Amino acid sequence: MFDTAKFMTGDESEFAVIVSELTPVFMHYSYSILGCQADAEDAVQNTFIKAWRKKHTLRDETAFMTFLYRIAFSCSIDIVRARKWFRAPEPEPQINVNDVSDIMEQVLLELSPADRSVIYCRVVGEYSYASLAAIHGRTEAWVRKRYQLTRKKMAKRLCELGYKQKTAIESGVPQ
Amino acid sequence: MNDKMIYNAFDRMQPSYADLTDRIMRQIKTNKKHAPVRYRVLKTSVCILLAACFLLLSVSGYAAVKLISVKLPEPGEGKGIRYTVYNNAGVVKLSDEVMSDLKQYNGRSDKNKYKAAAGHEFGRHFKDYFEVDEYLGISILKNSLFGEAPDNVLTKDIILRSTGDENMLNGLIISGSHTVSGASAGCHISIIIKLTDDKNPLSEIDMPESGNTTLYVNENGDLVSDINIQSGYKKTSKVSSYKSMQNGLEAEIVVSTESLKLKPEENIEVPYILNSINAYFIHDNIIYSLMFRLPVFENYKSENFTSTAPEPDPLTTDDYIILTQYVIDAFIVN
Repeated sequence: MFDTAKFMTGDESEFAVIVSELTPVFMHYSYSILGCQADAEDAVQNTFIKAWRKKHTLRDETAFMTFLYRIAFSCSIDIVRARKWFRAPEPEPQINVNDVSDIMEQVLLELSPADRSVIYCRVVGEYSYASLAAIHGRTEAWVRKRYQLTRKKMAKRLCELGYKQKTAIESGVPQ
Repeated sequence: MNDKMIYNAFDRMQPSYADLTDRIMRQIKTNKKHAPVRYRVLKTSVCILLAACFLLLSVSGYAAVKLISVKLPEPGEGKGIRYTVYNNAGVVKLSDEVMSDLKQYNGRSDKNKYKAAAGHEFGRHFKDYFEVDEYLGISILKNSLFGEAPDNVLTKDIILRSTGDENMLNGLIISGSHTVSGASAGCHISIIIKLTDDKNPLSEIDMPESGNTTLYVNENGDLVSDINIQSGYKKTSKVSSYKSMQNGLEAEIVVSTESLKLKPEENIEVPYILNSINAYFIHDNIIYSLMFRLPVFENYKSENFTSTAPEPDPLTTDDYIILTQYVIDAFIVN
């Protein structure tokens, strides 16, 4: 386990521990937004470097993860913007309509990166709306509304992809 | 749909975890911003490609980019200047906002030519798009207006930018073959206006709508007059002439107003091409604005301008560099 206080004082060895421990966490987060291994690595690298450079702006130890998530979100969005110009569109994924996780993954990938981030932080990271607001640089009301709208959008899309008819009963997942 | 489904879907998106610790820590320790590996590879590839293109162009004789340098004086030895010649074509793509504004002025011209009045208004209008760098003097990186112009007004451009501290000279020369539409002079005026906005005591100068700066020098090339702002036009003065020792070319130096022979309201097409050098320099808080016209043009007759020199061969890039250097020597270094 790492010591955030040491990081705040500029302890490099402690920072190395943090990088080592949290790389998987943020790789998962960035990958969830970007959907690309190489981009996620770049985002994570930039995240930690920015975090180190901006460590003086972190005043509350308990907000450390929010601090990192916020930077990671920003770095990921930067990459999303950059690749609009430099990358050809990716081919449509092949989904198995009988697999609920496959459909859900498809639904998630269809969301905007920012919406995906909101959903991720709320569901996987289990963050409060206040933390979500801090991560995304928005108001609490905005992220709450965004979360709800995105959930509705996802539910609608799930139906469109045939989730109710083909997979709900088989998977036993309540709707 | 519930959270578990979402969680599971995210959980499936598991990337492989490369160990980034060494990479990140190394970067932090050297305190340098390294681009991610694949960007570095990309950057290197682009550099190699550009170098190869440049080499190819140089070998084939089409390179328009040449570098010249003037030996800088030692500290305390007086004024000095360092020049780099840039090819202006396509340096920067204009933003949509600028293009939108530019189109308004394009609309005033016939076909692909700018008119004098439009050119000057255009220059004034775009003054905010020129960067003025306090240290370097003038940055012309934003000035891709000509490169984007439909007629590619400066077809053989050489942009020459000086660097130096505040006590050194700063300037810009646009040379090459281009129309006398006024766009290049407009560019100069716009930069001058920009400078007068930014720097004292030049900020006291009131630049009129069709204003010009005038340079007066004597036969030795010494400055004999300060800036003269005119609100009128047709102020054409053949100030002096010089002979280049290198190739015998004669350059007649006229004030920049030569390029403003037309009243803005006349708005007449200026259809011919001539070889000229526009230049301005700043020295001791005085702006010198020049237009050098070289006697190589055809079908150009003007009551205000008489060329007595025999018509030489068309100028090459080397000629421009020599001439430019000559101008620099005459006006700046001395």
